[in-house]
Amino acid sequence: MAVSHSNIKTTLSGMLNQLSPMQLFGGLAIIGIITFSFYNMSRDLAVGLEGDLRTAFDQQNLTVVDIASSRVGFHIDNDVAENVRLLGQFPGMQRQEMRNASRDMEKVNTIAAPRVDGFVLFDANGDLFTVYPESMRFPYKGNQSESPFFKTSKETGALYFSDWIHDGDSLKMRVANAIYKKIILDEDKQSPDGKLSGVIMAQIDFDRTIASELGRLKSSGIMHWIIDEKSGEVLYHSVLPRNAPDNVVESIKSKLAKDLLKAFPSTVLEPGIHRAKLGGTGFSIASARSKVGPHKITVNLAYDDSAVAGLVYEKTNRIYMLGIAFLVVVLIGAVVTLRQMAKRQSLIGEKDHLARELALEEEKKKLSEQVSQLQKMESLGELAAGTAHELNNALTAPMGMLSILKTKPDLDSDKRAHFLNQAISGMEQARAIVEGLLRFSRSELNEKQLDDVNEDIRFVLNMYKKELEHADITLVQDLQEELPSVLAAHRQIQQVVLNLVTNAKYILDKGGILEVSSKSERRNGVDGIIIKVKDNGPGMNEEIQQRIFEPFYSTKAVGEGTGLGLSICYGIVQDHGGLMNVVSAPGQGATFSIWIPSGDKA
Amino acid sequence: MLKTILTVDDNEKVHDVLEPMLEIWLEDNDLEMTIVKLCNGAEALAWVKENGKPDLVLLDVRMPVMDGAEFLRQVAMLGYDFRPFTLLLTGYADDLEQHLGTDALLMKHLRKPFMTPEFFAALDNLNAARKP
Repeated sequence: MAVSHSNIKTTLSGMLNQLSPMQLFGGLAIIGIITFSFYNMSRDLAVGLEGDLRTAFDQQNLTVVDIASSRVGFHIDNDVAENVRLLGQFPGMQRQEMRNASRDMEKVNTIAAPRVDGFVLFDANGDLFTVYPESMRFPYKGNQSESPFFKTSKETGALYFSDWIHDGDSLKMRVANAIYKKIILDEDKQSPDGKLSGVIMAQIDFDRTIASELGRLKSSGIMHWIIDEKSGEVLYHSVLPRNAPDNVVESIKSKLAKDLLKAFPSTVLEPGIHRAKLGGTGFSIASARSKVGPHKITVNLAYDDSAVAGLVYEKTNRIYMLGIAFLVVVLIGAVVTLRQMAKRQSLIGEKDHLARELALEEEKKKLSEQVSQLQKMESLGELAAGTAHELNNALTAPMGMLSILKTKPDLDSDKRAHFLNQAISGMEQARAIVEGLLRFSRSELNEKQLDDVNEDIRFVLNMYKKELEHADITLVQDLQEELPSVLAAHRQIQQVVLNLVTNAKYILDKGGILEVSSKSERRNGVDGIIIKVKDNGPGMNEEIQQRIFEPFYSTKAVGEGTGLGLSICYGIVQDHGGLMNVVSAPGQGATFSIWIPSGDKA
Repeated sequence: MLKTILTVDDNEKVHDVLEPMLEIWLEDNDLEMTIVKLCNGAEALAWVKENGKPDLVLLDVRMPVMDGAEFLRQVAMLGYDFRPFTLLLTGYADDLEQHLGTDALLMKHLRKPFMTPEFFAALDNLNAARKP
């Protein structure tokens, strides 16, 4: 975990490293601008949304109260119509023709149908709710009856059809005294035309009708109520009971209801939206106007503003969440882009680095080729000197002998033959040297050929013999005959041997001994040959031994060696799949060994 | 008094050539000299220590054990100056300078391989310089 974490860290810092301060600043600025503008945008959006929501909410509530109010009117009208229908179906009623103009209630009932002139409606309490037309308020003028026609309802005073009682061929109905009195109100007021063809007296349950109709308002508001516009009286309230006694313990809800009613100067509100603030909480009231029979009413629905605020809060939150998600996406995108950029940058860097490395490698190769060539030339120079000397020596006899013969043409035949033989043997020697040179130059191509490495060793030693002799160094050769042939670039083998021999000569003083040996040796199951060049010089310590094959490492004085000879030899031996090492100790001389696998490999 | 020529060279083949050439030259010039063949400076020095000054020296420059230059130096330390009657023989282009210094070029020398005319001329030269 820690590793991957640090990896992430390093890639992140690597990513940031790839950016210039300008780019970094620019990126941060863009993110800042995006965040700020998004915040602005979403705030505007939230404000707008709040307005829109409020408007929509208001509109919805207005529509609700509007519909509710018209339905209240419709339902009550409907109830009336239903009552009319029921009354009309009542068989007894139809037969009850008004026989006289008495104002008995029976007579009232008998004129109910089918000719209906109007209605008298009572509410559940037996209170007169409405009359229709207005003139129906006074249909019973002049009723002289002493006994009450209607019996008072036992429990609530509500009227039921069962309360109608047959009395002979009359239908009677008992009503509460208060109702009776109400109907008989204003005795001196006449109906406009003085005629009364029929009257229906029906009772509707106002509260129940309204409650069922406005019940749905409860879902969107906290309370609703209906006001009679004419009197400003509360006809119905979803929270406050009608005629509630003053001593009732008030609940929070009933208090709020009362406060809301008192919040406006008049209980009659214009259609539309009204706002009130109670104890820090905002309330809205949607009002609509309608008609119930002859009454103008106002239906009001109150609701808590916090509902809208909550909704707005919820929606705004959603917008903010969306914004955060958007920002996260943008950030991820930015990070991904940055990483991609950084990757590309690092790839480009890598590519450049590789290209440089390659160029360097190429340069190194070229240089090493040049150095190798130089080394070759150096060894060639060494060889050339030796060869020239040998050739001169070889030519000394033929030239001398032939010039004698030229000077003395008349020598006796024995002497002539002797001189000529000597000349020929000298020229044969010269030919052998030239052959060696040819061999040397042939293998110049570095082509690997199957051949005896002893030939290479001999060639080098022959060429270098004189040098060693003159330096008073004893050369000991111990070459195993019948050595297996080796597939090698023999010119290079010669170069290696020559290099080792010249090194030995350099290190050896007069009287030194140089041993060059060859023999077949099997290493790790591979047949091969081993060439050893051993000197009895000063030897070397461990450090020098370890570094001796390094390029440019030299113990010779500055200007006397390139420090490349042995590293090139090492390279050549490796190139032949061989091994090269040195065994030495200070004061004990040094032995360089070259092992090369023989040509006939499995 | 028996005259002596020292031939000092490590190469047998050179001796093989020098001997008949010298014989012819001696014959041509009616001279009688003993030719002493030696392999290196050390042998030559030993001979000088035993027999004293020779009359002519044919001296190879590069030789094992003791080279020509060293031989001349050793001889000089014995109180001799062999240079007037010494012919240096050399197979290497830079032998003279390398071993004897630049004044070696003032000495008589012959580069190997050589032919009879130049060898004889050099010997004549040396012989003539020696006589007065």
